[in-house]
Amino acid sequence: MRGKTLVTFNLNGCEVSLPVKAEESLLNALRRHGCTDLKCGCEAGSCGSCALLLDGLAVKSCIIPAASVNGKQIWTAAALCEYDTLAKSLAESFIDCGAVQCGFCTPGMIIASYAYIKDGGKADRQAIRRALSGNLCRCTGYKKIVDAVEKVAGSFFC
Amino acid sequence: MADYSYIKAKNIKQAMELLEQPNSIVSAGGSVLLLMIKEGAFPNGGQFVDITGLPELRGITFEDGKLRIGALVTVRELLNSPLVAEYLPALFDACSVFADPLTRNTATIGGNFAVSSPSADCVIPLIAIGAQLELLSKAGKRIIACEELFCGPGQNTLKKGELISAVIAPFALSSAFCKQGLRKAMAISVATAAASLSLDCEGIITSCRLALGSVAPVPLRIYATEKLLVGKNINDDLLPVLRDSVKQQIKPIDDCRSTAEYRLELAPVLLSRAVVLAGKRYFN
Ligand code: FES
Ligand code: FES
Repeated sequence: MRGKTLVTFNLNGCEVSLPVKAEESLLNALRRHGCTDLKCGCEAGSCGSCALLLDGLAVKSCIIPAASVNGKQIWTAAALCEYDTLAKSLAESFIDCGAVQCGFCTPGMIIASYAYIKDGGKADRQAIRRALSGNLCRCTGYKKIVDAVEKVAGSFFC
Repeated sequence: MADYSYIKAKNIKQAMELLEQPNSIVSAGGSVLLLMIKEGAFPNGGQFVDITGLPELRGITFEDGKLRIGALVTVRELLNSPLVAEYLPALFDACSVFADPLTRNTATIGGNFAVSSPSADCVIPLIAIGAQLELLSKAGKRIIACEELFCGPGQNTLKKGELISAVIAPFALSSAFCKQGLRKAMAISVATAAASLSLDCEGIITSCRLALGSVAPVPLRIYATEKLLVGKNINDDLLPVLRDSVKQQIKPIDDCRSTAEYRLELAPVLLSRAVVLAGKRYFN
């Protein structure tokens, strides 16, 4: 098919169908659809601000072709924090620890740390730093973000 | 304006037919495709052929005493595979420093080869291990050594219609990989080195394969240095032996990450570290 492809997937618990261009990124398609909790930092796969969960795995949506997500399940940070207890605890911990300044990196940080804890990640600062190593933050200096994730990783059992 | 379209191949036969078409572009994990488009890699547009629905390209299995790694296996799956950790430690080393955890969830081993960058992290250890690539096309299957794929930066010897379907790797228990980057994550390497050794019980190297990344237009196997190491004891300081020979065989460049001069010094050091680590694994 020339021009646009129709993709149907589950976004934050609802079925959606979007016409997308073959070369369009998932980030772009979802932001057009209103998911502004996905941030566009570098559009080159380097900063992690566009991270989301694709079939349960944390990925960078700016480098994934939107056309390729047919039939998949997507969760973005804002909705995840509403429905999922682990994500909710992370969001609260970020606030308590002062890990949010401008907030631009926060949705991506929540997704990456959520995936880390879901994978069985422990309250180990070095390991947390490694898990978040693809997510850049211009504001916090990372310490408070690591504090926030450590606090939840130490108290949450998946 | 370049015009693109998208189609998901339903089975291997259809994929082979779609790939025969002049404007076809393989789409798999999707970690580099959109970046390449932005850089103008396909000025005339084209048709993405999504191959992710083909089960033949998935999974890590034993086959004739070797490991067959489907081209769609992601770096995450390699890291989670006990087979890779045990039998291909050099590949495991490379996967654990590959990009960052998020990119590892989508980047595939086949894609790492297809991009054909001299800095591809998974490629260097597989050259050292002596792995082969299985290439599929409408005409059939052919097998090549990993290092035969590359002919220039971003250029490979794949023919039109050919698809990398699997990596076939012999066991390499005493192999290792070392990387130097500028940042802990998402670092394109300044240089990388991989070694795979056979030793006798005294620690004398009886055979070896060595490979270097980011120091030449292609991922490089350094044959002359391999010959030089045979007969040497792993417990001796091998850096002086390696240094001149490595320097003669590499052609590094200056770029945004480093200088040619620095790479000339760095490559032998990384290689000697990889050799020592591979040697240690032999005795464990
Ligand atoms: S916007 Fe996707 S990684 Fe930076
Ligand atoms: S809080 Fe501003 S980028 Fe992280």
